[in-house]
Amino acid sequence: MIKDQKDIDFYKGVARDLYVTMVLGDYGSDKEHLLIQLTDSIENIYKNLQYKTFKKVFVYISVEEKTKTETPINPNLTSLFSYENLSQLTGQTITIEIKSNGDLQYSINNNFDVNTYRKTCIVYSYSGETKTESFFGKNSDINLRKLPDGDSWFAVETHKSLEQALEDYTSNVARYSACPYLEKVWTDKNRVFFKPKPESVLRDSLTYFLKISLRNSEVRPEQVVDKSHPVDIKVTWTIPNDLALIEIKWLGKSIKESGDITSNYTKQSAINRVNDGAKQLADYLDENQKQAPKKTTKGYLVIFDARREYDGTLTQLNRARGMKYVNDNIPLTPDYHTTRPDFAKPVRFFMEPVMSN
Amino acid sequence: MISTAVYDTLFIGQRLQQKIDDFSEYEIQFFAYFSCLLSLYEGNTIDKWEYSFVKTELGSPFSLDIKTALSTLEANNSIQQVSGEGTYFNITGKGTEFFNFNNKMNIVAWRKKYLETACKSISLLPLGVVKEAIISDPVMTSAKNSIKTNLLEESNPATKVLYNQFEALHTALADQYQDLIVPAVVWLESLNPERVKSEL
Repeated sequence: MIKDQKDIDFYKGVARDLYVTMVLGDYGSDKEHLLIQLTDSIENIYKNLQYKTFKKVFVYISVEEKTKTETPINPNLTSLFSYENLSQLTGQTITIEIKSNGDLQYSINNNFDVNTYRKTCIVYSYSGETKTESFFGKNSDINLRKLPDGDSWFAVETHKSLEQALEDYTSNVARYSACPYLEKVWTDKNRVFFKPKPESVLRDSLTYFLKISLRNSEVRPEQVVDKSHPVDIKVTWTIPNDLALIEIKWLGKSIKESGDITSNYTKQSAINRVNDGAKQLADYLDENQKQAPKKTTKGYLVIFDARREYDGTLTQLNRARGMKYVNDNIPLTPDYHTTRPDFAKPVRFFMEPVMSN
Repeated sequence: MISTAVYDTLFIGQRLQQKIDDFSEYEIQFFAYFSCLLSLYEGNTIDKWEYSFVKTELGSPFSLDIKTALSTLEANNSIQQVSGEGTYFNITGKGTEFFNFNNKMNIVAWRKKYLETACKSISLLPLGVVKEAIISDPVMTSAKNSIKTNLLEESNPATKVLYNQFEALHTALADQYQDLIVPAVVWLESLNPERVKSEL
């Protein structure tokens, strides 16, 4: 078999950037069970701890063998006998030690010297300021790449229904543009204006979110239902035999770097756009019924709402201007979801700007 | 004697249930396929795995043996549907006893490593990331655009690509790691389309 050096180098590069390889390389392959105990523990911690409220979270596990009575690495730690008790903890920093028997000990607002602990422990950290997470080896550290679902690899909430997933996306991703895709869709750091043609980025954000959070399904972007009208995202379940067609519309303004407005969907044009989208979706559903009659199909109109009370092309808005449309649902005429069982209630993702007060 | 598909279904089901509270047929199929790939990585033949996979119309892996195993286990009350959620299952006490008894059999001993490694991957990577990586492997990718339904046929050029990937991965890691988990997660991460995008 021919070995391609390019492929070999490729895998070496992937391995070099992966925290698992670094940790097991530094501490030994025989410590795999400790790494898994640590990552499973982080997942359980994040189900209970309000981790995003901390500036820093450190979680670590010792790799040293127990030779006699275990002495704590850090004598300032408090024992915790249930993950649920983490929910009431607050502070600037929290340090949690995972004992080999699964017990937890923690301390709040104490200095944690990574360079001391990394010699004998596998250390993980999360930064609430930069929204990044890292693993530390003996001499190096690796940041985990960001996911569209949220801040942590160990807090990706999975959903069984599309409705639950869209609800999660509304509050935890779209609202504060908390995703590597949505971070890049704005012309300005205060998230007032979209860049020109944001549609594909918005679609990619929602697509990847659904791919990693929606169980038991296949999620595909831009599926052609008929030749002239592609739907934005198609979600398919084999059991049950269901299909969801998602049509995406965005509202607000997009501008070039020069400040020239490229698209403007506010006020009446916003209402028209949403209603056009609803009609498009209703037509897609009728067409799809002809092409996939055995599937139970439902249409979802989702709206990325970045409307503001603009002040020219100013990119600093006060709260009143920035949040003017937060509760403004666009009326549909006709209201398809009340008359068609295959048309879900539209979902609006209000995208909050960064405001001056 | 327990069939390998029944054993694998219970093994994977138990691990998934520990991690995410329940499991679906779709998820069992995925992890059985991934386990089979790990077996191929270590030089075993597809025949040794004892059941094969085809692609569904969605392009996801499917084994009739796994589907039959789930039906059998549900019929004999070793697994039960989660109340109100028709497509998700839990293992019953009876199923756990059945699994524990068969877990000691020599006939299944060799395949535990691959099942275990496949299931461990979701402790190190998010479940959805693992899933998206597997459906991006060369065999699954090729299957999406092909009318052929059998996966992992030796004559399939995509299977050859898969073996080439495994060979390169072996060489890249140069036997540095004792366990299979490192090649498994490196391979998964290499397939992840979002990893490539994040580097652009």
